[in-house]
Amino acid sequence: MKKYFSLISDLADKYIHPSITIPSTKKTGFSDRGFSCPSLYYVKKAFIMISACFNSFSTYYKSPVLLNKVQQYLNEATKLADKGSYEPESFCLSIMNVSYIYRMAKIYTKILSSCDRYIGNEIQKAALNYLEISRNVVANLKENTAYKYSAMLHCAKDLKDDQLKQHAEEIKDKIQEPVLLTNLHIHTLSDIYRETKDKKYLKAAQNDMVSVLKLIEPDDTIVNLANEKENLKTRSNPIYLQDYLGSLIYLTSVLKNEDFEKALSYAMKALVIDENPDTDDNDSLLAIPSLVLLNRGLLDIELFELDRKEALSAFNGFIDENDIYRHGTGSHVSQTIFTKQDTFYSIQCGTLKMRLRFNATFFGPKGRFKSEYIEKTEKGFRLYYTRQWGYFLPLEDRSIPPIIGSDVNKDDRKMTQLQYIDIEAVINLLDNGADITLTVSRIDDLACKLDLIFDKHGLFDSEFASIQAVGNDFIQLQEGYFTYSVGSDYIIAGPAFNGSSISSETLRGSNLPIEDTFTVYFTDMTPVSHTIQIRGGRA
Amino acid sequence: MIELIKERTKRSDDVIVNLLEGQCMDPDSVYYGSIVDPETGYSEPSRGVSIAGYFILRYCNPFSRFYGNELFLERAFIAMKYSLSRMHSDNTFDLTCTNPHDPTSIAFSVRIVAPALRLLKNHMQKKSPSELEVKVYNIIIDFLTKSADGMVGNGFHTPNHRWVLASALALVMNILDMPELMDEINSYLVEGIDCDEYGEYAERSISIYNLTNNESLIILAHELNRPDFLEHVRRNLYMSTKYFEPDGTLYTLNSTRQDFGTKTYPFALFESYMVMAHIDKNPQFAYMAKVIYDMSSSNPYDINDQGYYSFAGRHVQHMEYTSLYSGDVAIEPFDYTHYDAFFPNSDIARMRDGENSMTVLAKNVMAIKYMHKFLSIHMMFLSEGFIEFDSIEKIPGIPFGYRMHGKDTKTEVILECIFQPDGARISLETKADQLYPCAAVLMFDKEGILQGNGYSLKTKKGKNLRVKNSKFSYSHFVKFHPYFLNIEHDFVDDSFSGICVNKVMPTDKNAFTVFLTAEAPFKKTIFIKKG
Repeated sequence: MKKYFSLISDLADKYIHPSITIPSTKKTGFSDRGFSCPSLYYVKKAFIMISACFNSFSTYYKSPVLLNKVQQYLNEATKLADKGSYEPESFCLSIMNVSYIYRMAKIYTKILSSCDRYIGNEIQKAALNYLEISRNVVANLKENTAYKYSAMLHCAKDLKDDQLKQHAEEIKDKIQEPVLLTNLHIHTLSDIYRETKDKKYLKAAQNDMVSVLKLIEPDDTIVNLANEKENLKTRSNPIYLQDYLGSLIYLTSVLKNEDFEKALSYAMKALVIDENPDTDDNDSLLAIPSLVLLNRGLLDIELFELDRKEALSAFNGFIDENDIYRHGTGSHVSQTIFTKQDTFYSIQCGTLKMRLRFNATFFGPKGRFKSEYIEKTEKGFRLYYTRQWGYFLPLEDRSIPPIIGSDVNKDDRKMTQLQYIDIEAVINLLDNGADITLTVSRIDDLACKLDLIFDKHGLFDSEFASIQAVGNDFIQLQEGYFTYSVGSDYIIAGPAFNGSSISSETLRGSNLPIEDTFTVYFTDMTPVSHTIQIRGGRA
Repeated sequence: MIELIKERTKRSDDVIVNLLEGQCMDPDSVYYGSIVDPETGYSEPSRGVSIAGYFILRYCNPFSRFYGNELFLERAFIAMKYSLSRMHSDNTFDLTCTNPHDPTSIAFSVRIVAPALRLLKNHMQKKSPSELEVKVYNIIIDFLTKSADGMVGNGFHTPNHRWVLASALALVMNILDMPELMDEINSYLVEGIDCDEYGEYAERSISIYNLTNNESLIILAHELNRPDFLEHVRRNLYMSTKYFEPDGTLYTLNSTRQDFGTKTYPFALFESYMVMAHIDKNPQFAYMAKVIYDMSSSNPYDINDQGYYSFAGRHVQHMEYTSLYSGDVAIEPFDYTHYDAFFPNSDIARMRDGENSMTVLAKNVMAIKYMHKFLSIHMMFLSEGFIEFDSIEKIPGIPFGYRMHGKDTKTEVILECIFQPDGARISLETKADQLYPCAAVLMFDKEGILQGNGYSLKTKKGKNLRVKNSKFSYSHFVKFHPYFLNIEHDFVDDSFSGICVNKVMPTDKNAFTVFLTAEAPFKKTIFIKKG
């Protein structure tokens, strides 16, 4: 582990280097780094720098120049602490990080030369000053989140504020958050465990980390479930396994979990292979030195020499209360089966990803295939969607309002002419792809369409036509197979079906096209039963 | 007006030739007699009935160059056969694109073919009917007979469908002498017409369903001898005159249906104005019909498929309720370009002064629209997300002045808009118990030039800009069109609030977006001045 820590320390040093020479002022405006509170920028700088000052693997070990910078950045951050309400999550993170700064300074000031120790003391004061100003802002944040709870615990402990601690305990049970598989959330859960020793948080962090490891694609990106659920309406920057490194190190150390050790071994090895890791955007990586400084034993983790498949193959199966199934984690072709969202299946081969969606023209959006559950059967994984809908009757009771807002009062009306649609997909997963049988029954003459959506610009090729796909483009394939390739990665799918020659890329009520993708689509009229084969590989 | 009808029929004839040539004549095809929609790849089951209706109207219309042309009756017959072959055993059609076994699809078809049937009957009475005329007449009667069964007791989906069904049932009742249908008609009518005192229908669909409602009510008024229904139509048509923009489009952002936010010209309103002009001998409606007609004839704007052919593709229906084609109505100019109209039930205030207009809209993120000739600015307010203001009120004592309130979990916003002779003044006051970055978000839907103090750039769609100093001007790329808008504001001197724009990236791909940011709480003002 130590050799990897040395590498990480070097990366942190590379990040720090330009900050030594440029002025410590930055006006926040347009940024491609998302929406965060203004003080976070300075806190992050100070946090990484002080970690280097106390890290014997760093070239900046005990550097008085850098220590002075830390103090400057903290002072700058403090001027902006009252703007924490701009963005609560990043503000809470800033408090946690300033608390770490305070604690590192408190522990390690003694290793500084006697003439520099005063800077360490000044840093402690500056950190406490930030926490002091932040105390009320964080306490008044409207959202009760794990981040707020953690930040309040830190403020209470470092400022010795029993009243705030009491307040933190009061919000603890009010926290209601969806499953958030972000590194920051796992880090925060781990942090709360460190502060409280309540194993509930450790368990939650562990569960989340297992889910994350299951979601690793062949290019080491993590499937972004939030983006997927929203039909990629917004796309966050890709998240990589390396973004979770800090949390993975900590959980591996605390839990002594062999599967985590193997995953960590691979993640560290991948970091070495990555010749130019993007440290600027990777807070998790840069936070590792502080994690090591504040938590004993992290460098004692034993890592293995494993290939990718061995390291990650344990992470397959159901995720998120069985809403998602993962297959092939660690191999060159991974596949995901989704429920409760429009994309019901995806396959990623190397860096090339394809998603499937299916729509029928059944009462507008009610014809979107969105399975409620995944069922394991002899033939494969079965997704099933059924809906019934019909028409409203006039109201018999004149005292009931016929219209609510701009629509008919649907709650109080009887329905008639109920129509039924059943859509089933049976997915037989193979190592390099799947056979997917789609069946629509119980209703005839509906137009329907299978979308095969590719994320990357590449080459579409079939017996009849070939396209250099550049995004926001469509083709209806009417028969046979096609290949879509990017570099040496390819996906083959077919045979196409063409029951209605629908030439529109969207059906009425269907989900909208995804920006910057290339879509191949097959069409038919119900009743429908087709099996398509999907195979991925590397040329 | 008679000349207008003649000219319109002539244009329709041009389009009808396309229908004739596009009709599927392959007896082995499932679509034999119909026309396949190139976009969907199929033909709706109701399509045959509408084609038959269009063809029969030509056959019977003495102004048409196809008057008495038997080819149109032959084609109408196979078109009717197509639809009947696609009818379900419960006597409904599928609206394949969305609604299976749809009774309203039958009703819409009835409303097209019933007037045609009446014209055919009149035509047949003028001389001894031909065998073909009798054949076509009978197949329509067969369809109408089945349609009654398809429409009774089978329900509806949307507010306007109730009147579509009721009006179609009324037509069938009178044509087939089926008084027993009156109970079903009444079951709808007792719900009450969803048209408020200002003339707005529940769906607020200025270019689609309002017109469907008008058409339904005109039919019901005549078939049931209920002239009171026409009051709704009159109110709606007067209200509609307040939705015309200086560039000739309709304001559609208040619609709750498919026309929401679409760039739509008022050509589809022609029929309602035309028919009501004749029914009421109303010279103002006649004027509006003429205005719309002239726009379609010599529209200099980019009207794409809403232009000449699309407009002319329709035929003036329901003229049988008027003095038909022999009647005439005087035209009296009606000022539809100067008003201050507040429709509180619809959460909208519309103001217009010649070439300038302003819209204030609640319960919609697009809170304000200002237009000067072709140039428009839409404004939204960004707090935690884009705010939908709760309600609109008139500012006491200030003409053309409106106030809106809105809030989310971070801020409370009071927005005041005053439409002025030279532009508009927009005041924003935000209240917040914690500091929070907010933005007035201005959107320009035409690409042009933005000139600021110290910079200038092309306003490309999908791109954005945060303006930090106090003024800029905007003009677009039309040659010999030297108009521009100046925007002056006091969203300055705030270094950090700009981060809020990250929340809404990427910006709308159909507009160029300008952000004016500030930290709530604040009081700020934006002036829009035409130039």
